[in-house]
Amino acid sequence: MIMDIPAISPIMIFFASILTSNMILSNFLGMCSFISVSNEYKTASGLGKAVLVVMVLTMAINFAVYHAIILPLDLVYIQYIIFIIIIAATVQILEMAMDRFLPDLYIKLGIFLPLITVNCAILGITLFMVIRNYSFLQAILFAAGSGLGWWLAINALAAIREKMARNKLPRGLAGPGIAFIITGLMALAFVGFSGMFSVQ
Amino acid sequence: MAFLTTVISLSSISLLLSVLIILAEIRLNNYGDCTLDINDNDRVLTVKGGASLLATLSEQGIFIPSACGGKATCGLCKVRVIEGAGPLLPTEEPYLSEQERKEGYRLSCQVKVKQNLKLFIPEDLFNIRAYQTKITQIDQLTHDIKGLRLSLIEPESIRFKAGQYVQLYTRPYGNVKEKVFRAYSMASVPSDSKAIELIVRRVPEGICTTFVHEELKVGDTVQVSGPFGDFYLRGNANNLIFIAGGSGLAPIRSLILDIIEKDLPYQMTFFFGAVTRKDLYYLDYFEDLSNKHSRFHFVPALSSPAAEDSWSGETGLITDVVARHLDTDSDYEAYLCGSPGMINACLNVLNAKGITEDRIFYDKF
Amino acid sequence: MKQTPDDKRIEINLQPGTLSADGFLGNDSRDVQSIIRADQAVVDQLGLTHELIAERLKQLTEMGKEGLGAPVHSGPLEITVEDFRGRIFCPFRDRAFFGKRVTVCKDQTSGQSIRWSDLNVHMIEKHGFYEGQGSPFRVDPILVHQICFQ
Repeated sequence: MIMDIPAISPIMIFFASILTSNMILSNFLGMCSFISVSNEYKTASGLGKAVLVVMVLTMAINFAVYHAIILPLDLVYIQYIIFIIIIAATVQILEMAMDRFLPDLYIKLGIFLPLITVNCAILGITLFMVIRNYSFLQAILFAAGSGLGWWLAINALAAIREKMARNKLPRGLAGPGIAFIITGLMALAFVGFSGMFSVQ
Repeated sequence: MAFLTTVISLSSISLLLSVLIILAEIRLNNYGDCTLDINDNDRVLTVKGGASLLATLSEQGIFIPSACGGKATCGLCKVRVIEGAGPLLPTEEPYLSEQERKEGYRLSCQVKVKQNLKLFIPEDLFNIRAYQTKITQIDQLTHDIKGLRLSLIEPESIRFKAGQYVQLYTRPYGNVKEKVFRAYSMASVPSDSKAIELIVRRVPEGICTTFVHEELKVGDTVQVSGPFGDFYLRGNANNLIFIAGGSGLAPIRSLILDIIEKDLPYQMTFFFGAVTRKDLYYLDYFEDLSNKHSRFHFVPALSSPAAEDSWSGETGLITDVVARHLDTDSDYEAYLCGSPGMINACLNVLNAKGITEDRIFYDKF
Repeated sequence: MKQTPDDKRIEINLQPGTLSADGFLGNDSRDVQSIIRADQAVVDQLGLTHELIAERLKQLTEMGKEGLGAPVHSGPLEITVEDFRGRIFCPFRDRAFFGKRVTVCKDQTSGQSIRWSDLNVHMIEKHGFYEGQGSPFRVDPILVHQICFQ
């Protein structure tokens, strides 16, 4: 399975993954925490930052593992398991390091870090990296862009939900119902970016 | 062969990651021994780092008062840390005023011991110990108030100032899965140092009071810690007024008995307020006391006695009764214990009688 | 959908034995959100709001406080306010806490009565939560309407 590295500038990938192929709004990955932690702007922003950090970090490690271990040993068929345990271990170590060196940030993000271990967007970007055969620089900027895009999307949703918290809604729609509708509308709005550049 | 590669590589990756986590745990989560320098070299303790300051201190036998058990919700466990506490955490912010932040106050349940710390702890807190006790007597004082007598097992005796309180720890029972603790004032005299007495009124749906009223039996062992509190005798006036309602009698009883025992030269008047006769208790006890000691007067009062009470004593709101008994020119010091409603109403009356705030001490529920 | 750590903690707080001996849900098998939604519908139907109800309950407690434990009368209502020792935190983790003050309000014409704590008033006002069916401190909006809004 030899593929060429796609001839796209890493900068292009960075902006594309924020806007045109946003992790949430065009790939619909990482929806569970996106819907359930978007009631409050402050906490949503905290989760967004945590996702960004973990995405970049795990992408770097998974990239190295993929090229140094998985490909040479022909372990592609168990790559999912390997990626997942690497993500879990990274989050755990990151948590300990933050507790030690950045206690205030740890308190702010702390409770979200375990949540992120099971966020599908994190595994998602690694798998995209594999499918699209990105180079290291492309992969890292892709991860950073995806993280920023996820952060942007959850911030936007949380801001809208906070604004509408006091509005009256039909009973069946209150809570997650309306959040899904808003997400859909936001996704439609993001389609407007698709003319700018396309990478897929 | 492929099967073997899978097993070996998966295992070795897992093993490697586990080793990494263990290494990280050793490197990052192990803070080694830290020294706590308390009150300017007054006490220097060497402790194992990594736990919260609150837990570390309590392990060393220094009990900082706390009501929420380290969840940063009560804001009681404030301690002044001069050095080594790290940045102020967002969980602490709501509980510290601008002034306190400047002076270095922190919530000890949130500060983690990671390096050498310099801190200040009020001297009184060093007296606080955890006691194993045994229930030797339970009296039903009214329909919803019980009196407990606990004799101390380990340590065997307690030193406290009359009017202070202890924390009583429950066992898990029924639906209650965790050990909880609540504060109760001691009703016994400090000279009775081998035992303490508590007065516990049943709180609707209360976890600890329900435990005391339903579960606790004579012979049970329970844990208490203390003494806590700054409700004790100052004694800067010749006339002392005591006002209590409900289970607020406890610290007042301790204060009065202590003064009588030490034969201090104060004139004392004790107002004990309740709604009907069935809410009053220790009536004979205090009447007896006032007959024996000319300097002590006892004024029980009912705000709306029932017809069958055949009440001949003082009637009316406790505030009115107090107002009737006080002169405006004597020098008074007042000690109040009871519900916030009662205390606030009494403060107004006492102020109107010319007793200034610095002469009024109270223990609000 | 996954729960945030906060939601999880709130759920534990509402269980028996965490903040109060019998908890806040009684024998109600519904989750908190369903209880809140159901009561919201009842309150809407009565033409009231959470704020109006909380305001009225506060007003009655203020009135009853004057008695210092003895009953106070206002029209057909007999209000008794009692203070108990200790404080209770709001289970919704908003850092609010209250003295354990219980108001009992009895309608002397119908004989019906209802009781609430200061925490109940806060939970109604801020969280629209009237507690589960069968909870000892359930403040049934219909009963409140019948007794307190005559």
